[in-house]
Amino acid sequence: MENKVKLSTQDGVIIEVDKEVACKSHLINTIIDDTGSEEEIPLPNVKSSILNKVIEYCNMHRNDSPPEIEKPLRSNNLADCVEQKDADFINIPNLEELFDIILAANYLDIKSLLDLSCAKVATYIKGKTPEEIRKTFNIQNDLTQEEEQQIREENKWAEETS
Amino acid sequence: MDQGFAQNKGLFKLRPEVLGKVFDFLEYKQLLEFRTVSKKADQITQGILTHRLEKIEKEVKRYENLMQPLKDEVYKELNGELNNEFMTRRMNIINIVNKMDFKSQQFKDAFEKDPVGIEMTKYLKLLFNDNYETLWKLQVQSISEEQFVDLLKIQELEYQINTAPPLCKEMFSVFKDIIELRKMRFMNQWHKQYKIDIDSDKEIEKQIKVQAILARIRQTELEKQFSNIQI
Repeated sequence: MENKVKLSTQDGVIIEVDKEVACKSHLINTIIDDTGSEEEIPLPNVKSSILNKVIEYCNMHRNDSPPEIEKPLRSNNLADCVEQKDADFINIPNLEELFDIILAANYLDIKSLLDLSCAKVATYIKGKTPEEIRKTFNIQNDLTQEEEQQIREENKWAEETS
Repeated sequence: MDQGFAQNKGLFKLRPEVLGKVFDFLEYKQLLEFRTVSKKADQITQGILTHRLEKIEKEVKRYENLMQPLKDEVYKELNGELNNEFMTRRMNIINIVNKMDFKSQQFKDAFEKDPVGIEMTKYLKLLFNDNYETLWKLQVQSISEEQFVDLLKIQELEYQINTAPPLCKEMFSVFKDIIELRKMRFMNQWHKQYKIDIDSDKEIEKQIKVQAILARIRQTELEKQFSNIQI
């Protein structure tokens, strides 16, 4: 039991996980350091479905730390920038789930997962036109033509002066 | 489509500091272009830029704090008694370099302009590229940068110098003086500071870029307000 830790999720599910795996999260690691691993650790910001996915990732990297992802990305294909297993892991068709993983990784303080999930979202934006981005993320364009033109002018000025 | 959902959820449920991490993987131009996606995207982009600026400013400050004690140490030594050895060696180098009548002025100019900032490899390359054919008969090009720092390795060449032409001996003396100069503690401190300064400059360059666009956005906002008042 000493090597296990219980995590309680937003939706009231209790997940038991190896302490070593859970400690990939700096937040959980700090909590265990402060209060020990006997008590259940409440994670009110994370749903069980997302936590399971996070645990899957931590398990995958139980014995290693993934290398830093190159910035800016050199390709829209994440497999060109990260290990294949990481690219496969984060290849999640449901964008809402992907955003939840980003939020969970940020909350749990797991830098490599945060980077991986953010890089995945970045591949949906890289090289895309504003219209393509709107379509991908289901965003309504509420800018008037005049406002859009004004932003373009500001951007142009910024690019010229920098 | 439910516009409320689209503008406040989805991608926009990520706060600017988190969404900023997404844009860290993209070019700056792509971030600016994201402003034209929607009003919310413009607002979030400004949040990302502000957050990025705060981070850069902290980083620049951190570099300044790292550099200041090094600078203090270097300048204190340069102005004080300990400067003598540095000055003597520097004069030795200049005298010999002048005597050698180099084809190129590059070395002399660089050294005169910034003697403390001497970059060993760069200057030695200038020295030897210019004069290797005529002056330097030894295999100096095979000496690695690490060996340059290690005076002992260089001194191993001394016995070969005896049979070399006179100008080679002088070149060897320059070589040793440069290495000695480099070995002085304050020179090493200067180099440490110089390396940090290069990283700091990169941050400052980013800072200028972000400040420029934020200032332009503010200016447009003020112009808009002003024209509204006039109407």
